[in-house]
Amino acid sequence: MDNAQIMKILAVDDRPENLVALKHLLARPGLEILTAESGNQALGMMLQHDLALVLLDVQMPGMDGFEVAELMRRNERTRQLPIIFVTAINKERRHVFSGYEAGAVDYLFKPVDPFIIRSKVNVFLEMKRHQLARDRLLAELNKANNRLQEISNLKSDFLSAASHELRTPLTVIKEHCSLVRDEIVGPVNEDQKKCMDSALRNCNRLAALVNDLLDLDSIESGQHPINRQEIDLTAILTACVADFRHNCESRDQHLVMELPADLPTALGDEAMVTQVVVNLLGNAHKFVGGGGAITLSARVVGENVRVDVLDDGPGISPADQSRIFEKFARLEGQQENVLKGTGLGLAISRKIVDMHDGELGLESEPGVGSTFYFTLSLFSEEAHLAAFVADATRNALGLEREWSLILLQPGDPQAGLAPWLEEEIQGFVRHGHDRTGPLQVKGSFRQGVLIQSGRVGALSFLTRLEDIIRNRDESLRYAIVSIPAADEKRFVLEEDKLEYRELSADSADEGVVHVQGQNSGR
Amino acid sequence: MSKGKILVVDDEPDIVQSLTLRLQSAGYEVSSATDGLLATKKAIAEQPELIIMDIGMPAGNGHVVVEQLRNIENTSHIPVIFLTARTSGEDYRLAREGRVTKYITKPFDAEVLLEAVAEQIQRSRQTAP
Repeated sequence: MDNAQIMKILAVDDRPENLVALKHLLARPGLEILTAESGNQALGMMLQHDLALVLLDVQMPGMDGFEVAELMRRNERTRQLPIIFVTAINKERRHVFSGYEAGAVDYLFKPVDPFIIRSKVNVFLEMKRHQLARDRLLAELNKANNRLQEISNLKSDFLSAASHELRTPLTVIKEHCSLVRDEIVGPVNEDQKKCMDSALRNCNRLAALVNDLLDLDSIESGQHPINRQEIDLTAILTACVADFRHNCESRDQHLVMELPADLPTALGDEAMVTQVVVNLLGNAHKFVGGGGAITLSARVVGENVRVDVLDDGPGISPADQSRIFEKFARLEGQQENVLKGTGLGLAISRKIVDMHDGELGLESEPGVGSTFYFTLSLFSEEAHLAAFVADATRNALGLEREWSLILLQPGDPQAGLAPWLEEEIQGFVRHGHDRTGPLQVKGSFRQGVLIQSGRVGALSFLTRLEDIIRNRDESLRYAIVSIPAADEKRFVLEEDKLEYRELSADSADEGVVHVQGQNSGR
Repeated sequence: MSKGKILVVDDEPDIVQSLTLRLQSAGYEVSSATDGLLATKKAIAEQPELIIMDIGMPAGNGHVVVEQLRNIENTSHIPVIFLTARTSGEDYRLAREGRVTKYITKPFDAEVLLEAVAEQIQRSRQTAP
């Protein structure tokens, strides 16, 4: 409780009789008045006690009040401690402490007026009370945050363990059903085959659900690695259509692909983009119904390529359109005869497209049909570099370290880091809280190194490393990205922007590129 | 000549049983092991043309077994198909690095498995010493 807390103030004066007088003047329940007869003694007590205020006599032999204040300013623990100077002279030196801490310094002139000193002390006590309350709230907030993080981790661990434990029995059931259905263990009649088909279909549904739950969780918790490269959309879309053709034919649906012959390459994580295309095609396949038509197309729109999955199905009502990307969304107008999905495909797709800085959307008119579309950036060296840094950053942040440093070396992917550089890094990373690991980088970048550290000296190491690289007569170029934790703003040049620097031994005018920050929200 | 000699490794006897039945019916000769150590011994002794292996097993997980096999002269060429229930970041990484011949996630489709098996056996015969 605020009121029950004993507040401490420190009175400093070289004359014991003054201290006795001050104690009398200020004494009241809930307030403890400590005293010191010299600057040295006072500084020692400031470090021992959590004080609300220091009443500091200016005229003292040895160290005077201003000198004490100067020393307090240099110490982290006492820097913020409010001071009331008690002085008879030296008014001209006030300006010395004008910049001390706004509002935290005050003056009293001898002889001290009892009413004024009480009210001034009260102001500072009130301030301290607010500060304590704020600290307590912050501590509670932090505790609650940590608890939430724990729960979130627990959920991820549970999902991961559950899905693993579910998969093995599911595999056994599915395989044995399939052995029976395929008559490998003896002949079965048509009805028995139908039963086995039902069982198998539902094994697949369960497996898809387990996969989707795990995918969504790893994407949402930032643990799903993303690696954007130059991708050939024509090849990806063609492969997806080939995979789906059989499914569509079984429901008498027409699947058409319309691609321009000169569709340029895009920037994306191939596995993830494929997953989005498969999800959208799968949705169309489920909702269109027998005999419908599905068209997969792609075209360049400005700096992006847009992929459309168009169907002539029942369409989606405006009310449902706003909810359809939610997890397990149940739609009002959903028909009885549609195939069941996991209810997670669109939620996963949206997350994936978000990670690509693209847009996933829907245009639909009930009775006419629906078009689901997504956009990706066209490939360019420039976009690739920015995406690369963003992806490496995101992947590193998923590891939840206090800060990370990524060192990249463009060039031959087969060659390791230069030995001298390796040595420097190993020299730094010999700390229980630090670690280093290779970054899996393809394309035009050589393998880089990810250094993660919670150490205070990490920033100076980064600076030193830059110097070393710059002074080295190497033709190699490096990119260094320092990634702050959300609350470590001091590593950031601008809020919510990450620093990206490309260094080269022979170029004095190194460029600093700002990449849109991925650190917010972590 | 049989269609090929395959070593199946999984610590779940039920999975070993279903895989054995499936592969035998497709014309393959099958032997099995239920842990990593036994798998290494059998691979050396029997010289299978393909190993189908679970990752999470007692006595040497799948990754460890592959490392060992790669370092033994007469097993270093044998292709490995991993059956995995895990899809951890580590698995993504290994798959991307190409250190594993093939990954198939549990539960799998029999057709997908048989297709991969036929492909790997063919490769194995082309590169066998």
